[in-house]
Amino acid sequence: MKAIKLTFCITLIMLLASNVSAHEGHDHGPPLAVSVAVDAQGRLWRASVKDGFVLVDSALSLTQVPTFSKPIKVNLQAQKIGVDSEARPKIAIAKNGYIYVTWTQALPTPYSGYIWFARSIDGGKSFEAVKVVHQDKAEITHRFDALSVTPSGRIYVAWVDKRDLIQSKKLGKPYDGAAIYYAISDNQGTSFQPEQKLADSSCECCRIAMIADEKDRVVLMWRHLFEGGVRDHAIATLNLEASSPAVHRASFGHWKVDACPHHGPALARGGEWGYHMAWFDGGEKSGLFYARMDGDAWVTSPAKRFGNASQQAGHPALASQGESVWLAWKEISEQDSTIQIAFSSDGGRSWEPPKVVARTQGKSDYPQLISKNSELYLVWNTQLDGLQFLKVTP
Amino acid sequence: MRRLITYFITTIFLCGNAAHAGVLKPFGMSSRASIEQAHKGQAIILSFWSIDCAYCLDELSELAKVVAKHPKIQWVLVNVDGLDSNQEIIKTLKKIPIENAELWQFAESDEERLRFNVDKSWYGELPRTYFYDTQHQVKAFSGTPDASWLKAWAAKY
Repeated sequence: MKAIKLTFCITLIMLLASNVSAHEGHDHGPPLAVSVAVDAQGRLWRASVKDGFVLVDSALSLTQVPTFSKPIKVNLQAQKIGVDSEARPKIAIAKNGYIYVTWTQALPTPYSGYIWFARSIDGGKSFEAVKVVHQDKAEITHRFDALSVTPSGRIYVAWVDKRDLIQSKKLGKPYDGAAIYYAISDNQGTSFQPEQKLADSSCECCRIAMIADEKDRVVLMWRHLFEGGVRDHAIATLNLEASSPAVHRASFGHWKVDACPHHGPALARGGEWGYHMAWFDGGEKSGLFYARMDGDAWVTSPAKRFGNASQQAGHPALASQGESVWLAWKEISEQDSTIQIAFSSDGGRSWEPPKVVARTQGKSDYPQLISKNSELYLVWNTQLDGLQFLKVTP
Repeated sequence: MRRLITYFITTIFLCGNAAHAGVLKPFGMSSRASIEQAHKGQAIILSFWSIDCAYCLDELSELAKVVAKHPKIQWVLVNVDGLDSNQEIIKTLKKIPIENAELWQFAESDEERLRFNVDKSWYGELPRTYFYDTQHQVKAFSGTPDASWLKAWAAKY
């Protein structure tokens, strides 16, 4: 009997082995979820993940498919790194040329992680020793890192954190969702101040949108758990002078769901008046929406719907220059995936019909919009057509 | 190569625990249709889940109670984490009574398109569950269905 079982197992192993070989034959390649940033010289920098390492490489000659330099490893010991759609390594470049990278290491306990940080002070030739951003080293959720550097060089790292949920559970108290925590470095990343909480009851599994402004602040937008289990969005400005940041509701889709949407929002600075926001709502009226926040809490209503919901329009990116606004998103079909961009010349009040600006078969990442020498580019990483770098025009 | 070693280890592990975990069947572009075909005339709960989704475990634990009480319902679990996560999937499944469930896992490189192929209106939120009656009229849920609805639905079988 044992012999039969052994033979069965060996056969099964061989079958699976041949299956794996076939599977690797049409190789997936490294994960497509990457981040990009442009330095003062116009060089495009990319953070990606391969085989447990965060890699950083760059390209100076920016053709439609840029050729990147030989990548360097940021972490010297392999880690299990969060790199699937909502999770990806982040890269930001300060005005002085320092390059900052963050990422989430997945730890053995389910849903747990650490947020890591590393910097290069020699223009990307090397990275200093990596370190964990947060002081809390419990093996719990610290995930979905966001990274921003302000014009004067202050670094903000924000993430989704479950320490309050776990503490509440211990005390037998109810607690919805996770929390948004952040840490600041005012010494170019030499060290981070102890982390602080921005808000309780965030969604557990969506990326955070964070942008820096010229006043050394950042604005964050995230999917939040409002009363009754409704997963709309919240927005807050982190202003170190203010004792506790005011959290405002930013969307009103009333999607009530006990699920992980895996679908975070996008945010861009408007004029002096406020911010452009884009997000996905699920449920009966699922789809992609845009609204703007004027002042502290005045949201345009109703939110404007974009894209073809039957082709899963989603995963938005936003960019603005003065009153010009671009909204990019992804749609998929049985055959291929496309990136569409809609343009507004009046601060998001009215929009021109969207255009399909890129198309690929096979797998692809979410779209990103990035400025270089005051021109706007779409960055889209694809399996079959490489990293696409396309100039966006009104 | 690393993936190959993982496969060997997983397979050996599976052989040792076949009675509990069974082998995860590869879920591809035509799998939803073949599952429906294989269980024609039978009520099905088709559960898509991930090891990375806390709500999924709660949902699967609830559904395990339902199928234990109503054994005529065929339970089909499809993990969406991809082939690299085999060991963690099996470890997680040990926490749930799944004796009579069919176990599948996403096995296409392009998981986004596979999801689209399963259901165009499913954007990837998890858990995602499809309740088939015996005529295969389907009710889809993202997240946890209302407890009273679930009880009433299951009571028919």
